[in-house]
Amino acid sequence: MGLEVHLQLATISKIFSGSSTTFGGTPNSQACSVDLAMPGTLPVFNELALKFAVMFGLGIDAEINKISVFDRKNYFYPDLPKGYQISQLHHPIIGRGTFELFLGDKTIYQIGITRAHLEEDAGKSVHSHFDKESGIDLNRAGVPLLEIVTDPDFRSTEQVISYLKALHILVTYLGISDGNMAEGSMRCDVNISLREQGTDSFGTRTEIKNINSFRFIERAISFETNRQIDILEDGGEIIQETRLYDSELDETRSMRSKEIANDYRYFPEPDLLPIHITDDYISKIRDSMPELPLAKRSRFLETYDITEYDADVLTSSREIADYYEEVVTTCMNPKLAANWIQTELLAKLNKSEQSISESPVSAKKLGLLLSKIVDETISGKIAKQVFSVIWSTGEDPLLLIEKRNLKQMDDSNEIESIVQKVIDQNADQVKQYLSTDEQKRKKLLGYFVGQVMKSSNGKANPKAVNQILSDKLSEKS
Amino acid sequence: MPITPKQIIQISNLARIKIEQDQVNLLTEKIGEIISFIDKLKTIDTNEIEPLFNPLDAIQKLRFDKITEIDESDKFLGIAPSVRKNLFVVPKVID
Amino acid sequence: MEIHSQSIAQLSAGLQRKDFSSEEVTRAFLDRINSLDHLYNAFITVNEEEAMSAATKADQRIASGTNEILTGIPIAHKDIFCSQGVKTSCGSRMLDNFIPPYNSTVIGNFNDSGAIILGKTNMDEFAMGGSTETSYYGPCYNPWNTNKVPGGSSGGSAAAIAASLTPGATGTDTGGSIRQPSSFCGITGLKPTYGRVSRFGMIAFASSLDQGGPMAKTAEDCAILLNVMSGNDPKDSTSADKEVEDFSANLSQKIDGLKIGITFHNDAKNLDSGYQNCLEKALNQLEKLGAKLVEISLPKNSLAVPTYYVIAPAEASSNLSRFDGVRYGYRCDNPENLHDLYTRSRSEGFGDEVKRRILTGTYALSAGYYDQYYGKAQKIRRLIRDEYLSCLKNVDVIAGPTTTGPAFDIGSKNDDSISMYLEDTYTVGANLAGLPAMSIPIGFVNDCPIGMQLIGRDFEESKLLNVAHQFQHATDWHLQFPIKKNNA
Repeated sequence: MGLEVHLQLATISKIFSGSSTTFGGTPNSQACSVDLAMPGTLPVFNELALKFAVMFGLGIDAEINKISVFDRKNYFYPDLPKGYQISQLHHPIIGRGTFELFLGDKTIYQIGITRAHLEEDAGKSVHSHFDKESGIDLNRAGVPLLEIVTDPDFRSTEQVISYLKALHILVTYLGISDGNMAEGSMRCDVNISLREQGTDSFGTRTEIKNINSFRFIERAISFETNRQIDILEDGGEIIQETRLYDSELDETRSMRSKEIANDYRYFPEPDLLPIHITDDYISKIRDSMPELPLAKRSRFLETYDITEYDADVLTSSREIADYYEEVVTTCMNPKLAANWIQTELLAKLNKSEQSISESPVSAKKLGLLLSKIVDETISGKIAKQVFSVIWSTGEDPLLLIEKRNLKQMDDSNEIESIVQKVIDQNADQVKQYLSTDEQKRKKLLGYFVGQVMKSSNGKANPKAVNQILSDKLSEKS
Repeated sequence: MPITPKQIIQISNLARIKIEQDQVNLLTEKIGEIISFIDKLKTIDTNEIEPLFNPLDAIQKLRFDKITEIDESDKFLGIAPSVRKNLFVVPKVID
Repeated sequence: MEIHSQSIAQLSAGLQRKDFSSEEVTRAFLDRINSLDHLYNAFITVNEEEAMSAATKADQRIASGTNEILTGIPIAHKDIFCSQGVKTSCGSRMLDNFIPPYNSTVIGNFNDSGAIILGKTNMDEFAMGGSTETSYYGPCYNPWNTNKVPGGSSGGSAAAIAASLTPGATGTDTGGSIRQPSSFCGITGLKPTYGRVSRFGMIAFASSLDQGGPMAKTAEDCAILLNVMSGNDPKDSTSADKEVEDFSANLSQKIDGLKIGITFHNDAKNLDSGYQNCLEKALNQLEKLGAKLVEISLPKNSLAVPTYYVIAPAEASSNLSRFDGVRYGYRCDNPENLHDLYTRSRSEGFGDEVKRRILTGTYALSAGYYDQYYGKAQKIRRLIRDEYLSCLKNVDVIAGPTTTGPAFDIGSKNDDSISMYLEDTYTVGANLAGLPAMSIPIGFVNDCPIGMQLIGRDFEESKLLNVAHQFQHATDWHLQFPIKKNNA
């Protein structure tokens, strides 16, 4: 299998005009004279789209072509107002590169990137409003796309999904796309061809278009693979064609409209000049590139001494990684921060369906809270209570600890008097303790500690409690 | 003839130009004359020559990523032949 | 001197001296259009009311002293330049109902300078033609002899100037569409260097060849118009990032020692003897003014016409795809389905010559033919440009005929595409090479005017205008006008 991903670049204006790229406006409210292909209008290239494409190229260590050229791809379709799409055929901006995948079994699998080129998106046909007619909304026409084409290197659906997930992480790290599949910011076409076991050559391929979620990708691939197997087993032939995945019927079907012999009559877009990229431009972009996911993962493993699993979770998005690092800087305990972010923060965010950037508890506040565990001002248990409060109120954790007097009791006299009280109130258990074996003693000690903690409202320093209890009980024996 | 009636029909289909049946032969002849005329170029040796796609010896200029266009859809939709619900209306599009 | 006989420079001076008002000038030209244009069909749209109200505003601006050289001067625009609120048809049924909600940069620049739009001029449909006969609005007639074509595609602009219906106009030139009608109508026209004038809002025919330019009675007026038209436009990626000089500044410079390349002996075999005589006299005149004539040869130019007739239709076939009956322009009645909507709207909306060129261009770009036509033509284009550039290293300007002869009879070339295409023999080279070129009147053959073409180096319009102005200073071919002659 090979993949073509259409990635919507996160520019605020279109690739060749100054209209907004915001998703979901009133139909045709974001289509200016250029997007509508009004007579005499001309394209002018968006500098940020170029920068984003180069960033992607650097991100996968690909060749950046010093000269690249826009071409016209000519065909008639109502969502294509000019009657041609401005794309790149012979001289794409990004040449060969490789993409490394970490699969579940810890193996590294390399996917060859054939090329990536810039092009403009088409508009949208709306079928639901009218009976025998369609409506055309050109708001999306001219939104910048980077089409990323892979070699036919995928051998399983798992590889496809893990590539798409890794690609999603990469592009959001780079900040070049929001990678939102549901809104169509990342769309995927899959080329599938089968290979008979024991042979080297692949059969005829079909292209499945229009897949916009991980779940659908899995289902579309499985449907299409089975369809091809069935045909071949019945002695039939696969026709090279474009098929559309219909998520409602869960099937792929032939796109009749694309079947009429396509002859795109590509030629260099005469309204635009060649793009020249200098070494200086590339090195400036390289210097301003954010750390990439894999580099970050290795660094986390090395500097923070956390598990591979932790590193995977904590680098799964740039926001989580940034959050983590801020917490670590504040509390100075990488492992504690890693545990808390995963077990407390992400779990809670998951429940409330919020992203980390929407977290009610900022990294700074969580860091301060954890720093109070580290310096033994409060116990982990108290910290969880504090976390709950600041989750809903947004209060400052330090002020809260102060205000509610949650500081750990370190004064041994105070603890001693509580311990004494507990011993006095539990004479039976003490007797039992003194007369039993080591195993049962441990259990009873736990019970006494619990009682002391309870009477101190959880504030007593557990280490001190243990020490004092052991001392007192051994005095008795 | 350098071009056949069948090719003329194919090309007119690609270009979305309708040709009446009785015009095909005449048009084949007319376009054929033009093709014979431009076929002169075939004899010229152009190996090693870089094509000149644009006489302006310059590189592509760039615009900043800035929204410079306001919503003028009322004006644009106002001159369109068929509009409903802010959409350009066409006969049913079949995928 | 009557208002309509004056040049733009003279009218501008008169407005400044308050000899007359812009309202009077504008009225005078509108009256002439109303009374005479039925003879020429030079205008598709006359913009009477708006022109008069713009004239009133121009007079206020003149009174307040904030006027520029063109403030209050009425001019006409080829109907290929989009004009906000004024129909822009491009000579086609396809755009018969098209009123753009935006201005082309060229018209915007003229409006800002305070120039007044008299109307929009007739042209070959989508600028495809050399006779202004393919217009949906009917042919335009040559004011010198109304049985003759005015040339094209900017025939309406040329005829309107020749008939003194406007003191100046805009045109566009893809393969000679400013220079050839200028020659046929005895006026002065300049195709600037590719990239000098913004193409934004100028309806595209062949993107890598199209260039807007000025047309007027004199080189001096062309310089004034070009000053306003030209300049880098952020809306056009192919507009040159060149500082705009004052094209009027060097007009009166002497041309002693200027080297003029001529291909006279080579061209002579294609020209009739009348044209040859005129050209010889004009070249002698330039020598008298101090120029040195240098024989040069441009053998590759013989490939220019076929090269042009690959590139121009190929680009046109793609540029004209946007006319599909969906967002603006002509739409067929009751389309049965999408395919029917496209094919009928386009077949009913476009005329025969446009359809022929779309088909030729589609063929030249189609699978299996690209390398042999479009790819090849662009390589030959480089050979042609290189040849011009190497000649222009040794000479400042190249001079020769603009056309193969004087204006031909209306209808005489309608059935013969190739002979119509060969009309462009001398002009297409400058388009392929992107070089500036102009045509100036140098005499008459059979009572019809003919022109001389001057081709210059990239962005050296100033030099061409200087040569032309010096020539016009010494001659009076540019001062002869058909109406004046008829009246006399």
